[in-house]
Amino acid sequence: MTAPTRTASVLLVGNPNVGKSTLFNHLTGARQRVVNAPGTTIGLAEGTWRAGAVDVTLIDLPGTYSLIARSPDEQVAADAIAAEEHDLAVVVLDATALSRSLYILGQVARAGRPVVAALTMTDLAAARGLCPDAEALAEALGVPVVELNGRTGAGAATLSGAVEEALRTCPRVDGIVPRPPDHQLGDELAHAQQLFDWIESVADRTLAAEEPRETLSDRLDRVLLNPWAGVPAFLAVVWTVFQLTTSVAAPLMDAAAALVDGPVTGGVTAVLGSVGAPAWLESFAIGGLVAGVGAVVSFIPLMAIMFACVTVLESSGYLARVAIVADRAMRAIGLDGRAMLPLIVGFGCNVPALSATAVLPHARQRLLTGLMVPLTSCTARLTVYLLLAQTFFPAHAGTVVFAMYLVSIALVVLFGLLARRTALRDVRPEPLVIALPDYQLPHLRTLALGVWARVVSFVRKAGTVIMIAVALLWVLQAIPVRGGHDLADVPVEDSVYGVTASALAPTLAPMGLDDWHIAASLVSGVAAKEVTVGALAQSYALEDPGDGSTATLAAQVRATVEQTSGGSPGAAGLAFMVFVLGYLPCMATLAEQRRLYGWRWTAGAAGAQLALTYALATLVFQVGRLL
Amino acid sequence: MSGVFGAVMERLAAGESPRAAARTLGIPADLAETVAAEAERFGLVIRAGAACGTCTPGAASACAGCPFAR
Repeated sequence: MTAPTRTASVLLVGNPNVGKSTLFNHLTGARQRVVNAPGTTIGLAEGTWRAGAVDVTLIDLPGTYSLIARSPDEQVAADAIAAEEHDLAVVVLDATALSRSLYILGQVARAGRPVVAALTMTDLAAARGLCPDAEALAEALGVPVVELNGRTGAGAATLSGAVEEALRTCPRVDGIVPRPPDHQLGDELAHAQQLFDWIESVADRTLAAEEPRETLSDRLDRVLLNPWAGVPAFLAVVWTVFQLTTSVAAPLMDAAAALVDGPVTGGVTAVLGSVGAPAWLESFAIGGLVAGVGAVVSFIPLMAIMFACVTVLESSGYLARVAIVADRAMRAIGLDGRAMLPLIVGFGCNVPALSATAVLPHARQRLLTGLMVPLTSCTARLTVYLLLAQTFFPAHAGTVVFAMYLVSIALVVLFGLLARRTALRDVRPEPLVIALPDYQLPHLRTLALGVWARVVSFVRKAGTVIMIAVALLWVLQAIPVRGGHDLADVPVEDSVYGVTASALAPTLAPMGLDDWHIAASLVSGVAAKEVTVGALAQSYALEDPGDGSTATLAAQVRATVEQTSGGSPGAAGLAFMVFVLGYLPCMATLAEQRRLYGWRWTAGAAGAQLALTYALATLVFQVGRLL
Repeated sequence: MSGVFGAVMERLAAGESPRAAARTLGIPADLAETVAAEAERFGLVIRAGAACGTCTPGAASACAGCPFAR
């Protein structure tokens, strides 16, 4: 064996999972150690390897797709490639995804490093009919290309010779101009574009042309993304979801409610009676906890069906298409299409939707979108719609709930247009560009597990919120403010809760809803929208009808609204739903808005939203009662 | 934007997936996917699902009924 005449530092570079570390282990064997990358705690594998007459220190860099780093690992790779002290880079190319590998090779070449390419996965590529010709590739690149088998190590000796030779000749990649030392970061996009043109020319010379074949995704997209068919298709999907939800969930919800109202309430009453519990405890347990938590239990079937529908739409790739369709509609009226993803999330919950505005690049766009988010109708509001739709429109509940979502979309657009033409005139709309996934069939087991996890999370979270809210409401209902009653022995109308709600109720008269139960539930709903139905149930449950009857919540609400609306319960019911949709965001949403935009924007937007929704709900009732 | 990068971006903006864009343009699928991934690094493209990136498993930042939060 020839004695080494010199030493060299060589970087091993490549995309993740291309066999880079297998190659590293094969070349260095036991002669390796882990060192920290300079100035970091990220470990780098470093080993020694004899490349012909050269003793090589080989450094296995973290796998990366680009030198525009997005993680500490990628930054380590980018820094190492930019550093001057390394003599050569061995770039591992994945033959099954050659263009992707060529991008990192081009970036390494642009950093000024001499390059040797190691072509792996050729057996897999050949099986797919993709295998590039190594000789043609070497000719196109202008640097040595060595075909390697990562598993067997075949080709390692050739690589050794190529590296020894390259350390002497410093081969540079044809068609790539090393970047100057004083390059600007702003040039990176232009250079990336040049690199992609270079990759295309290399691929043209080394890869067989693929026969373009239309897939099922292409055929579906031709319909679902069509400007004329896409929106009706989306509306049909949403309508179907609500029909399914209301028709399947309603009997299950009734059964759950009957279970709570009957055996559970009876059991709790019997237990408390048998231990001689005081009247206030019975009132708290039955009128507070059982009524409030019962509302959560009765909504479990609804939530399970909604979760299943949304999971199917999301995992199939359709939800991302909705963003594209909505983007076009939004841009047509001068709004920013990129706001669509956070707004779609808002239909699930407003709080993460506000966080999701982080995908927007400009602060003013984030602000505008963040102010529109509370008008997207979150799932918690669905529980109120469903109760009211089944109360006032039992034969068309699904269609009415669907209409509420259309109203929500209309309000979002209206609010956005108003904001764009007043306080946020400087926001420039830009298109949404999204990397769409291909359509996929949802996996049944994954779907079932996902729905189960979400239902458990719903019961835990909503149950906790409801328990806390119900306890607080019960305390407010136990404190008398008139009538000379004792603490915890007071009719609700004479409690802090009842008197406050009664004082607010007349403001709902223009909507035909001048009633303290409704006012109280709306105030409670600001704490969390899930509480609205629970609070309504609780306020009715605490009242003694005096005739021994036990009317259902829906019947009680209908009787109340019959009276407050002057005989137009349908119009008042619709106005109720419209008001619930937009009157005020929940506390969590307000807190998140204040954190992101400050209290002035938050208070201003909440005030504008309240005024807009109040006017709309009033209009709905006043027009509706005439029809 | 110019060249193959601009062409892929144009197809993505028209609502095509990276693979569909590759078929339309007659380029390798992984080239279009690399363009999309790099454009995302430049902030020009949003990855589907990125908007809900805040909802990690067990995230407390969403209300109980959010079907997106995991």
